[in-house]
Amino acid sequence: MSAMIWVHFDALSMAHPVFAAAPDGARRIHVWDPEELARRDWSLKRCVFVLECLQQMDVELVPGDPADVLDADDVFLAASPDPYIRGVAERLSGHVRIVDDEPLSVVPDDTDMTRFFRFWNKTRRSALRLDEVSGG
Amino acid sequence: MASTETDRQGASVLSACADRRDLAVLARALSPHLGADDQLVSPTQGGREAAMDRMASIDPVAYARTRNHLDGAVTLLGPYIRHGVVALPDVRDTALATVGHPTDAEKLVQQLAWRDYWRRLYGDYGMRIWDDLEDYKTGFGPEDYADTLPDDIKAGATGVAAIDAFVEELVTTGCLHNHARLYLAAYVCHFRRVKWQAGARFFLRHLLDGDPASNNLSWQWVASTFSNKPYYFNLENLQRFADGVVDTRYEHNVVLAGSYEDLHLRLFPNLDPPEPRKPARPRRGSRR
Repeated sequence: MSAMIWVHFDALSMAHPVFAAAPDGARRIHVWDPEELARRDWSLKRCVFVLECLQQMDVELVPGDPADVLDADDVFLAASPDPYIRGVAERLSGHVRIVDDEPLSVVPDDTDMTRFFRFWNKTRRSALRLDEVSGG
Repeated sequence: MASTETDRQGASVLSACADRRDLAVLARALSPHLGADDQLVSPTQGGREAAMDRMASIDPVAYARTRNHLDGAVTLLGPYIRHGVVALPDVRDTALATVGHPTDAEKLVQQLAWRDYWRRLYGDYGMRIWDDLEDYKTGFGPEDYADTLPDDIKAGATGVAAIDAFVEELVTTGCLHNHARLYLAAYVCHFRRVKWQAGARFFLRHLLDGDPASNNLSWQWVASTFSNKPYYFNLENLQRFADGVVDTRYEHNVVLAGSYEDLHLRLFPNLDPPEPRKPARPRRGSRR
């Protein structure tokens, strides 16, 4: 069984739990997708910033289409809301394992998401860890 | 499928870059869309080490007191948070460790929550965050707004000194204080009546922390397509928060001058006149 970790541009940290979730020896790959970067029209300074982040990580840099490059039985990736990342994950031929990071807060199911302060009123206590401080 | 040899080459090319000049050359080799006129590299360095340096400087109390000022004690962590170099709970925990009680860090944690909120909405909306999520509340319809960003704005040559300074900073550094982003977005949407999408694309091209979630939804908040009313500002407000950082003299920013009631009538002539606002609070003594 082969395994890869897709180190995409929403999770450029070796501290992300995706690395612990994958088996030892899984290849860690950042796919530099020129078509996607052209679509996003990232400037040079954005590209250099990402490359600097990658330089401090133990990852391979591979140019191409992620759906072609990430050819393994199991592909691990950090969870992301980005439609591009989600779209690639749907196109992968291998088994996709999406790994969540620790959330900032607990969001109750009945939270009204239509305005920020309705969200904040429901999540404030957990975001500030108030119940942990008060021992509640 | 990429070959193993190609993979090794990719990895070794990255590790072989000795400095930022090499990385810029590599970026160009990997990214054919980069034009010959795009030569600027940000003074902000990528990577975990730089992020941790900034984490060590977090001051939630000073942040709460000064964050709206363009020279306030902001964290400058945006690019690292956007790319997951540091995680939101890590920033939160670092902030909480520096204060006596969690509520002393509330303003900073609330800002982290804004990002969390935008990202959760992004998961629901997907590419629809490029659409107007609600109607404009400006008295205009989408057809009243220009589709593209005027060249003088992109060039930082509007003749409005503060606006031009914000564009210059955005384009040369890839960083811009959040309040300056709001000023610039309000200028684009309301003073120039340009679709927020055109401004959002410009920001995403340049901002190191550009993320369609925070970026587009903040633009929609300014435009009023994801808020109850348009966000706009006047020169008095700009002078309060940007004095000493950019040129806020009246004669160099005339178009921004006026009371909120005057600006409302000028920018949104189809709406009913606004309720009078309370007078602005006096400026902070320490900034005079």
